[in-house]
Order: sequence, then C-alpha cells, then structure tokens
Amino acid sequence: MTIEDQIKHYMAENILFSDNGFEYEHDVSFIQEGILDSIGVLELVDFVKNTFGVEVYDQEVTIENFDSVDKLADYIRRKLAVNENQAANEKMPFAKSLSA
Amino acid sequence: MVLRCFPLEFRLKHALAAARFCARLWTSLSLGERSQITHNLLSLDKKLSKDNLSRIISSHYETHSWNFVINDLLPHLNSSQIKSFSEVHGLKHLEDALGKGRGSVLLSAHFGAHAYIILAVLRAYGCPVKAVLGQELRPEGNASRFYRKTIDPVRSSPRRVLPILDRGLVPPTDIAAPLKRNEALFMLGDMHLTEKQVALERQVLPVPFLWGTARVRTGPMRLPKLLGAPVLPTFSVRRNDRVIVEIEKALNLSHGRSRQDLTADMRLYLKRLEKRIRSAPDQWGHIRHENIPNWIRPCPGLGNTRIHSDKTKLGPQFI
Repeated sequence: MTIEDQIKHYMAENILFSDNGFEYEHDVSFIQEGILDSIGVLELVDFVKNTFGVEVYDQEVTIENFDSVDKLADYIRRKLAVNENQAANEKMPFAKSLSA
Repeated sequence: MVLRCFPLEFRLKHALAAARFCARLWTSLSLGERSQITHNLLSLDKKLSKDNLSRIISSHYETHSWNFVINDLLPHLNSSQIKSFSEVHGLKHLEDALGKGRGSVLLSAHFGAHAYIILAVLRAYGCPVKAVLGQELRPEGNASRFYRKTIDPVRSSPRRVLPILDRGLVPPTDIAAPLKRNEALFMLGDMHLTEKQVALERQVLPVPFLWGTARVRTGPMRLPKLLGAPVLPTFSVRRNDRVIVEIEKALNLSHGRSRQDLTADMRLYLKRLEKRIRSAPDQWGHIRHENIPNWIRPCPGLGNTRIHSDKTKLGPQFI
C-alpha cells in the first residue's frame, strides 16, 4: 500500500465517513473542497504521527503540507527521509563526526 | 437603544422589565413566526392547550429578549454583577473531569441563555473556559436597517470581551491548546445543517433526534475523543431574571472514532438535549425556526404549510 493509498483510506473511513472510498483526485485541496474541518486537520496530524512514526511540529501544520493527498504524501516522505538519515547517523557515530 | 441612556446598574436591575416590553412588541409584530412556533410545539405535544401554548410562546420571546438585553450589557459587567443574576450547578462534575488532566468539553446548545451569556457566567464563577464558536453571520442585504444597525451589533457585541476562538479562522492547533492545558472548551453541539451546508461540510452525520434526524457537525465530539477529554453536556435555563447554568455528568462515550461510534456518542448528547426540550420547550432557541422540519414530524392539524417571516435569513447558524 503506497503512502497515498494509506492517506486515502484513512480520509474515506475517518474523515468523510464514506462507503465509496476517497473519490477525489490526489491534488484536490482538502480545505477548498470542505473535505477537512479544523478538527479533521488535528486528526490527520494524529494519523501521520501514529501510522508513519514521524514527529509533526505545530509550525509544520500548514496548507503546504496538509492540503491534499499529494502534498501530505510528499511531506510524509520528507519526514521519513529525515528519520532515516538520523537513524543512519546514530548507527555510525564515526561518519557523523567526519561530516561535522 | 433607549435603555443605553440609563446607568448600568439601573439597566441590570430592570433587565426583565425591558425584556418583557421587547417580547410583547416582538410577539405582536411577528405573527408568521408565532405560527411556526405553534406548529413546532404542537408537534412536540399535540395535547397542548391554547393557554399553555400562549404561555410557552410568551416565555420563549421573553427568554430571547432577555438574552438580547443582557448581551447588550455583558461587555460592561464585572464578575460580581454577572453573578448577581446567575447560578452555576454541577461545578463538581467539571472539577472531577479536569482532575483527569485532559481538559473538558462543555457541550452546550441553543437552549436557555445565549451562548455568550453562558460563557460569561462560567468565567465569572472561575471556570477556566474558552469557546469555539462559528462567526456571527452578517445579515444579508434584505435585512431591515433596524436589524443591521441595532439587533446585529448588540447580538455580537459580547464577542469582543470573551475568549472565543473563531471556528474556521484560528489554526487547528489553537483549538486543541486549551484542552492540552487542561482547561475547559465550550462548544455548541446542536447545529442542524441544511442540505446546502452538508454539501460544503463533509464531517456531518445524521443522528436521530426527536422524531426525525438531525444532520449535526461531528467536530464537537471528534475533538474530545481525539484528545481523550471528557464531554459534559452543559445547559442553561432562564427563570425570570436569573439564569441557571447546569453542568451535567460526563457522557459515557464509546472508545472508537468510527462513524457508528460518533453517531452513538452524538445521540447520547442529543438525548440529554431532548429531555431538556421536552421539559421546557420555551427555552429552546430553535423552536421558532423553520429549518428544523426534519426534527419535527409535520402535524396533521396544520398541514404542511409553514409560515415564516425571518427576513434576515440567518438560517441555522442563529445563536
């Protein structure tokens, strides 16, 4: 299941209460289409934290990161990449000190 | 407006007399609206006598007028002045709920006193509470000059002195912040949305209410469930020149956040509201609205004709 599919599945089940899945294109704005309300944004943040194990800071909860399936998937990929880099650095403290 | 010429204490002391005068004027001017209320009340109880109907309608207008008079005073009143016309029952329930350390949602309704008055009363009694409320809808172009210049500014004036988070305008994290600080958040849970609004807002579920189905926003239930905050139904009753705010025991909510869970949880809250409406229909703000037909089964005696003369078209957002 791709990140996009996971987002769509969550949105359909928990935000839209839809039996027909997520019926929008990946670039459709959640806010402009009324797909997300304020509480929905908080629920989406909770979903991202729990499903992908990434830390979401308040200043990152923006339209640029959370307003469509595409934007959110990109954001999650960026956060996962940061997590992977950090994990790699922790495993190789020698490489970290070299890069510093 | 004339009342504003008098000192604050005088206006507060004679708020009920002023409300009664306004109510009489309002009742005699809005015959269409009276028919709507009669229709709705008879749907609640077909056996209501003519005398009872008349008494309930008068009391309904008196409550609305009293809200209006107090709303006009509210920005200028201090805590002891607010306490002089109010009581809060059930503070222990709020204390217990806050003891869990996850904040509390006080879920209220368009019942009894105006939302702004309830919020001001709770704060006067020392409750750490903020409110999430929709913005006041501006009256449309066909609203009368009197409404635009007098009624509307008075209705919305307490907003400037109360800690209100505008739903849809403040960042979502700000809405969650009071609960995370273990404070109370006041919200309204009885909004029935029109077909048009449902098309614009997707987080709406049909929930059984009275004899029909109300299409309600689920936000006021989803937020506390997300953060694990208890939900305490909070209603108010106006009795003559006093308002009694009653904080009820926390609802026993389901554990999930699925459609079925949310429907069951909203139903729990609406059941408590139903009980209030049945015992004091005059206090229910929506009883005079024509946008509640799905809540009320058409009454055979009156046919399906609905007479309504609300020129302001404020719709279901009316607070």
